[in-house]
Amino acid sequence: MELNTSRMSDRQRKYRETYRSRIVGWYNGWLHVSVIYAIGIAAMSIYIQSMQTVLWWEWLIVPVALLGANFFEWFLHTHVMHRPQKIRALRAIYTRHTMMHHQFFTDEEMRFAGQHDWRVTFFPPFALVTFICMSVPIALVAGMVISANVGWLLISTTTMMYLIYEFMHFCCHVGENWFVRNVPFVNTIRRHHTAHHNHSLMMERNMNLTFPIMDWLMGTSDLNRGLLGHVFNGYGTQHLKTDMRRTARTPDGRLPDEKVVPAE
Amino acid sequence: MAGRVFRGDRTIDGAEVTVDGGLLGPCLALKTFTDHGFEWSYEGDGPQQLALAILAEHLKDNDRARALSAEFMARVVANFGNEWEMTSEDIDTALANIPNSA
Repeated sequence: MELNTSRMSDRQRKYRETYRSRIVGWYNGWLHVSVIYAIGIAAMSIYIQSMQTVLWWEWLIVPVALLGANFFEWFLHTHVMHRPQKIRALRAIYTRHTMMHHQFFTDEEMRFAGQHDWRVTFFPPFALVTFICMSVPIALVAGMVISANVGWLLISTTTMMYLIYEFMHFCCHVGENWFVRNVPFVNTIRRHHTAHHNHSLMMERNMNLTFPIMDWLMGTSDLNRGLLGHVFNGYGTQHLKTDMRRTARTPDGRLPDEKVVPAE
Repeated sequence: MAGRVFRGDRTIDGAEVTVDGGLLGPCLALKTFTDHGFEWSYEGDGPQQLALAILAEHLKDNDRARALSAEFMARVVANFGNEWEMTSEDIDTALANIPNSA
């Protein structure tokens, strides 16, 4: 049930045991992923079949929607998944992410032990339906104001970004292999997300899980380099920022360059 | 008051903050930065509510707790690790490192 060799702490090991003990017996990771991708692929085929001959300028909505989805992903992760919420549904997302996902996986041990651990990583299938429903009004407006193809391309992009999100996140939590080490974008987000699982950084840094565009734009990345450097960084660590927060079990109240003042 | 121990942990059921083993109250009556619950490791409303609650319990002086909560949040609570622990002496040391906190 657990990884044979791991440098995870006893706390993390116990947490993983506790989490697994709470998963219902019938859970199946393969079924979970199949349902998500069945919904996504079905939706994508409807969108594509609904498009007529797409004009060159209609394709321009794809990068615009990609950036919008990238911002949404960053915003949701930063302001909902890592901040306590009052609304019950949003609080459940926060608890599931900060209190479960980030305790189950740390930068010391990022790997699944098996398909039963996918439960703590993939969103429930209804999340994709929710995100599609959130895209519908925007796509309808784009379809009416610009063209039907633009509306279909917009919702195709947001749905595809969701599927990419799940795939990239999955790749961040599998064991090291040739694919995740060498494929551009995948290797970048794998290092990016592993750093995010460091408990000193998780509340503030590396909030993108597809492409780290908004982390670069909003200054929430752990890297000090340009946009292309961010997107194609891979596993490199030579551009890490040196002024990031380092948390402690018992902070002493000093700023990084201050001397100790003895307590009276 | 000497010898008290404040602890925080992110458990499977939520953020848990205790003082001497009992749950620490949020002190919303003193000032409400947020009623969504405690958090830490960043600067924001949840960490400032926690800073206020710790200081109110430690100092037993509500006005001073309110006055120091922003700086204590920025220098201490925002730098708490995933699990943290502060004794009364640790809090006194941290306060001594905050200018004009006397």
